[in-house]
Amino acid sequence: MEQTGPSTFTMTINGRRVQASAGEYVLDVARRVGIHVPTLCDHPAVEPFGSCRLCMVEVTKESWRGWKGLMTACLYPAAEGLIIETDSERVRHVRQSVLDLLLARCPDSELIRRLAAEYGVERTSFEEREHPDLCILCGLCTRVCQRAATSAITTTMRGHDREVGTPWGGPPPDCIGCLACAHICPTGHITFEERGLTRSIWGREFELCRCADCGAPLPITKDQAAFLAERQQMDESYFSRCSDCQRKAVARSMGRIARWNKLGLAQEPSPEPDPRRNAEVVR
Amino acid sequence: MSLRLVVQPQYCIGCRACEMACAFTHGKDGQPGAARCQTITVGKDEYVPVLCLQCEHAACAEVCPVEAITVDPATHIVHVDQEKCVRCMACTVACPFGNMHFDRVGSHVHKCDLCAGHGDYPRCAMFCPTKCLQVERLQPIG
Repeated sequence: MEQTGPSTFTMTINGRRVQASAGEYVLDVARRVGIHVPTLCDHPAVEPFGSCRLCMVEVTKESWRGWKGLMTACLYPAAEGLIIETDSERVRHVRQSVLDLLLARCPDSELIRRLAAEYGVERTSFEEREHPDLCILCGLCTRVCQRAATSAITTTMRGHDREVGTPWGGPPPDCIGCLACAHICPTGHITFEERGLTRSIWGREFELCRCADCGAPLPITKDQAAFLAERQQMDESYFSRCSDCQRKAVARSMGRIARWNKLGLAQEPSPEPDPRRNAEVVR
Repeated sequence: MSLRLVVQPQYCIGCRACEMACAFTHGKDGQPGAARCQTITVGKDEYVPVLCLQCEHAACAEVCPVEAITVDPATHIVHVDQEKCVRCMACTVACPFGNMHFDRVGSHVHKCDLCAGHGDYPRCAMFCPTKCLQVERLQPIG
């Protein structure tokens, strides 16, 4: 639907009149004005997805004649005249149900247990899964892999069997071992191991880069360096040294300049203008 | 108005006051390892404080796969958005000057931001006893 009219408008959240602009979602507006809305599948690095259903809010407009809808705040576009309730009884009830279900799925997750307790759910009223893991199927890992890496992992199977996995369950051929999925996972379901020059994740082993100067392992894999060099169009030499060795190299060359300066060339910083910023020094 | 940090290593006496000032500004514990400014010994009585150069075309920002590192168009300071960062560590390797640090305790990358949001004036320069680190204020021409 084409939005016409001014790009900024006012809407109401919890009785507060707030300014919002076209392109924002209700969750963005609420966060901006300091209203807390709980989320599990939201992350600034990826687009909103609406899979955890925890950010449900009550949405209405005066023209809707009393009808109120329950919407995911992360996916509902901000619009003129919206009236949002983020903590009404109906909202709390639906969040309780969501957390109740999540608790049945992941009874061992610290994060889910804490959130559920905040909403007064101590034990799930459903039957717990037989072999529970920590995955809440929020899709953060698959989305960040798509955005930052190679879409090496995705959700597989359907219904009860749906899970995050690799092609045919084997070691993922496209994975670059960047660990973004493991670090973004809110419940800690995705695990990895690092031993010496080897990093293993998703059942595949990766060789870490080595510093060309000191030989220490770098925190990136060889596949990751090759991928980044190609995608970001950077020379591979950017991924060849550890930060300690690079700092030392900079210090050595700056030390040489300092030595020349000590031989009578020392100057106070000259108030030279900065052409790249089109700016001059103020004294 | 933006700032420029000028480093003149010939005046550095290796006191590491800048490291401590930085560590205490950006953390309660004042761990020198967590400082964004590192003083390196390059010879007998020769020291060089190494800090982020706030590159115009920053390698850290270019390598970041989620664009969590950006150059502020007004102040020209290179910032890391900690919320957005996915800890892939590419920036710590890509910086040609080794100025992107990784904090193992807090599990996040950090770099010198000229104390933006911490008084907006580089604390290292404030504590430098020999004026090795000096701040220049810049103002657009015209």
